[in-house]
Amino acid sequence: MARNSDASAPVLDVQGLHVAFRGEAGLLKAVDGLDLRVEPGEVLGIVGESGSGKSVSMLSITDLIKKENRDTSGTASFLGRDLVARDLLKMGKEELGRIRGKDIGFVFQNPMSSLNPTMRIGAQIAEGMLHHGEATRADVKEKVVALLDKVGIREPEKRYIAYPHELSGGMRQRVMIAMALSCNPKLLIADEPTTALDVTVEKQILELMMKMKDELGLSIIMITHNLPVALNYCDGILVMYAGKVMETGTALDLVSHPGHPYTKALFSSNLELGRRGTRVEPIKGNIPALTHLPSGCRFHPRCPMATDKCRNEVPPAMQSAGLSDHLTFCHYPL
Amino acid sequence: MSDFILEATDIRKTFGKGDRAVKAVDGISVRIRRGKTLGILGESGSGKSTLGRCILRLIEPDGGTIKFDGKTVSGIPQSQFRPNRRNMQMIFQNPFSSLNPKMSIGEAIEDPMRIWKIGDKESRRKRVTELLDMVGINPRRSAAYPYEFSGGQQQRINIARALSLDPKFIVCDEAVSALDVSIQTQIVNLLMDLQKHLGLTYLFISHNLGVVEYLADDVLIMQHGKLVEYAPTEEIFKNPRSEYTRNLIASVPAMPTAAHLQAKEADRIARGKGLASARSAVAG
Repeated sequence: MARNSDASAPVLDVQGLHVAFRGEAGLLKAVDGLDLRVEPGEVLGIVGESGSGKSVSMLSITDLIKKENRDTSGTASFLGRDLVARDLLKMGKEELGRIRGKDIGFVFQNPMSSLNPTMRIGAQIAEGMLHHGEATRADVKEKVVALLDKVGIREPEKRYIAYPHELSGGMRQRVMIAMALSCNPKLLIADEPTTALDVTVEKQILELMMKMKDELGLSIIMITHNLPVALNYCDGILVMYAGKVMETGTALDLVSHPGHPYTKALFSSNLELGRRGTRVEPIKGNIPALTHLPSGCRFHPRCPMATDKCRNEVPPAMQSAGLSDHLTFCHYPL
Repeated sequence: MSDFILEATDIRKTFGKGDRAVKAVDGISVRIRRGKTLGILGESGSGKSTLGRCILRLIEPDGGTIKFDGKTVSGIPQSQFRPNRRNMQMIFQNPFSSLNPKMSIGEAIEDPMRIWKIGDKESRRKRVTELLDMVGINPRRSAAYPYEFSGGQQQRINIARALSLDPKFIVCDEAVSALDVSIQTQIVNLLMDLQKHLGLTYLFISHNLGVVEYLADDVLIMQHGKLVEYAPTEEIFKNPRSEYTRNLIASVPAMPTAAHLQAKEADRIARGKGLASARSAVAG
């Protein structure tokens, strides 16, 4: 993703990821051939609407969705803190368990449902640290309090013994971030981390994540449906639609010359501030069901420029503006 | 005929008692002109939904008066209020839970007319076809069930049902918040087109500043049940008077420009935190 890629190893390198679910309605192809690289210190945004496969891809490589009825193939090479790259998809339960929550931290959309409502927040954060050997019984409290302080929770000693319901949504998300960072991860996977929050709180949480990234030198994968959020906070961006990548490039590439008609339509149809008095044209049609995916390019039924070729042939990766890492999966890139 | 279809004065609603009392709506007054849209903006817990429900008397306000279409409709028993209901409808946030899963969408849209004993079966069916057409759903699918439609289509069906009694006033409570971004604009445009054609008046409750700025004529901003600012939309966004409003507007992530992103990257490299330096640090 990053410009002038050199030989340095990415933190996460996913190649040819396919995820399908076997169900009554047939085979659901949730992710169909995903490649992505996250460099050290980079924030990679995965942008997409419902059913695009943005969450499923990350939850599948970390084995956080049920295995039964799920077919996963491809490779997901993760560079652990020992600087040895290993394929997450080939790991056994125990080996993955040592990485998940330790080298890879998670923040999800709804902090209330991600936290245990019957457990004090201090104990919840301590649990993971003790499990992964990041703290001992003797020093765990001190470490958790320091962590709460670091993520901007005032009176951390007092909050240490609070229950999740006693905190606001923003404070709960700070607790989630503290928990995700508690074992010094290399990679943070944040799945819609601010979608459930008010805008003023959203900004605080995003800025906290960026600050933590700089201080701790971690990489972040941020899954979001919010294009302005992705463009403002991510270095590289992957635009997904109905299980496939449509376009990938830096935030600057996408803003200065979006290559895919879908990306361009997302820009032009977005109701950000300042659209008053204009007629904003929406993207026509509906998002396809994963059981009835369109042939050829997945976006063709909604694309104003679609031709027979788009209906019949899956588009290859095309370079945009001559940049090897700005790729558009379209027969007719803009 | 009054210019204002709705005039609500000094609406108050408190939940709970004693120490635990929460003033959800604390003396809010609004007036909405016929055919116009009032946007209610606020963060969670600001009381914006409670205000909308008090205005429709879905929640009984503790105090204040409500005039609808020139008549006072507060302080009268629900039985006397009820005839007004066909003129005031509501569209909710979650399009799926707003529909009865066991009713075909045709039945769901026909239901209000059946309850109000409007027309006969045949004329009602005709009206269902007309309404589906109006909201952009193929009328041939009227026998299908809600789960067979996408979220955006379900919200179109909810709009068709809200329109079935030919109302004058609709409260939209976060009506596009649960929809995908590519669908939100479709539904917002549909609501604006219907307003133009049918002369509808909207109370549009939302936390989304971009959407409210796009469609509302006036905006009321609430915080902790109180009014922060109430002005024509352009005024609010161009000359916000309160610190709270300014902060709210400044918090919305803007679509960055290329120049902005270039400057950001240059700044990062200057601070030694650009992507290139991060890579060489690891390689070295």
